[in-house]
Amino acid sequence: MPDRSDPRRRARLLLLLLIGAAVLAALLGLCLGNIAISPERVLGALFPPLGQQLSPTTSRFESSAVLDLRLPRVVLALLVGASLAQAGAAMQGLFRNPLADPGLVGVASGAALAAALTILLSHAVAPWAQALITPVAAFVGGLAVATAASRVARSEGYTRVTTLLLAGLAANALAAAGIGFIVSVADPGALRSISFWMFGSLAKAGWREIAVGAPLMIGVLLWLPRQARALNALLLGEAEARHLGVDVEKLKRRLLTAIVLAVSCCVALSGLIGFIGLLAPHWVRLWAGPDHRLLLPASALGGAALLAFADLASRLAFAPQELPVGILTAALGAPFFLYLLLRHRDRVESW
Amino acid sequence: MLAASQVSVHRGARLLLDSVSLSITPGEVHAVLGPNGAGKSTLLSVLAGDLKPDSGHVTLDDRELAAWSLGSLARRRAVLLQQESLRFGFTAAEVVSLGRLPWGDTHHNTQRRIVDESLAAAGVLELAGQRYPTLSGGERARVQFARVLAQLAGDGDTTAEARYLLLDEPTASLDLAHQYQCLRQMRRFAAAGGGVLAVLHDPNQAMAYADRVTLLRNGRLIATGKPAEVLTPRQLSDLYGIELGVHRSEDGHSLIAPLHR
Repeated sequence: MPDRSDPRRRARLLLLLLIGAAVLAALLGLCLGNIAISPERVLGALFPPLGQQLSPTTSRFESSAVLDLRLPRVVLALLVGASLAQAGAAMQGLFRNPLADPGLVGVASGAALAAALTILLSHAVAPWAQALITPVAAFVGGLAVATAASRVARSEGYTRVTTLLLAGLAANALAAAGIGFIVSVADPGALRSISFWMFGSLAKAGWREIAVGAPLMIGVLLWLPRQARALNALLLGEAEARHLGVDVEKLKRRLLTAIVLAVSCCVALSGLIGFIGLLAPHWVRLWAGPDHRLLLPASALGGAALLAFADLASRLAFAPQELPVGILTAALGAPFFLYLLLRHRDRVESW
Repeated sequence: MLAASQVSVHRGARLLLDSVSLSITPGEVHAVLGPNGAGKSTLLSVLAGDLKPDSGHVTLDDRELAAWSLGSLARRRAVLLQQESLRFGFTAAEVVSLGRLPWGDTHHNTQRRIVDESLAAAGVLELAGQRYPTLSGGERARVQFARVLAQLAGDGDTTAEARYLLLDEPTASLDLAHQYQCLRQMRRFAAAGGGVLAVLHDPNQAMAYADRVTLLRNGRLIATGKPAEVLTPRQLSDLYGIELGVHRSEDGHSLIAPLHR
């Protein structure tokens, strides 16, 4: 693990590897699918002037498949993967617990409940309006539940982390009950829409959805790494961080807000996709230690690559049928997570 | 000067600190002694700014502690608590470099030098690359001590304003050799113009290393002054409720210890 000799070289190597993986995942995502399109033709579709020289034969159909179907999907996979992974890493630092996940404080289930509600109620409105209403509702739902949970956990000016986790647990149970109710009264059309979305899928990715969520997600992706030093200090303990000049209460409030914003956006656009926020940060910590200056950007890159690969696999595995990617990340993520726990059981405490 | 004047702290009906006044002066090591539950850690929390006293004032350079920004306070005083709760796998050197947070971006070489000096001062230079959670309790305590030393190492040259170390039982989990190393570092810090407040349990160590001693019991200040005046067998017997006496060796050293085994 990271020795003292040259941690910065190791960090650069890791970042380069992860960028390579994300680029590879993106390219494969553009090339592969129900029909395979060669890399030259994909590049031709992406950069028309260059395409004239590379492969003058890129058809309009291929070009449309790349630009209108695969590219938004790949972009959304990269954005959601990066956001979930980085939010997970930040939340683990905030709670000083390597097993913390944005799902724990009720963000994801709150967003899911609100989204399911709008799907149930909004079949009367135009599709474009629904495409807007559902993400916004998910966003508001996530924010509302997380705010309520952290209000419960706040007393005498302090946010108590254990109470927050327990409040999140209660919020999750309540949201699950609500979703169960909605599912039981929904008509088949809405039910299919809700369940497909509950499992998490990038199939509905379009430029319109991306345009709604991307600015916020990118904003949080850029803001979180700037809190890296304060998060490092927070790992020492809240009192210790305060002694080092960190306004701990302000930091906690801001981090929670940023995490909720990012995760609500993810849930709004792609449904519930689990384990990215646990797997990517864990893997980075095992490789490079807990320093958030590296952990946050590396987790974002790792999460982006991970979800892009997972989405590709979910499209190809049972083609032309498509598997919701959330099922895949859970099916692969949960055993891998258990394997990590078993293999590093003695070191889990030191992650 | 870091000073508490007439500080009282209540917890429900219990009075944790009862109108305690005490100051930490640059160039001095100030030891606080008292039985368990005397209010020593509470006093330290008040001086650190973690706990707002119910009445009384805490000032740094005659300015209320609350009026200082957390950042500028962090460049003037460091706090070593009894309990550490770091569970993430930083190396010892990384833990110590966390102490440099208040100083913003320092040049890589300066940072490295300060971290190494602090590690060496706490006797943990050879543990620099070890992961913190794999260290023993005493080793962790020394790494944390190195961290607070690094926090007050400043820019290396700007030593105009006095800095203060607040140490809650810094020697508690250390072996004998490292207890004395820690005490020597406290003296060295004071000799360089800093002020030290340390909660200690061994009156002999306070006698040998402190310039000023304060005794606390039940949240009240019992006595304060020069070690030889305060740490008398009678005063200490009274404080701890056991019979203590001074044993003198032939070469003139004296040792405070129980009269009966």
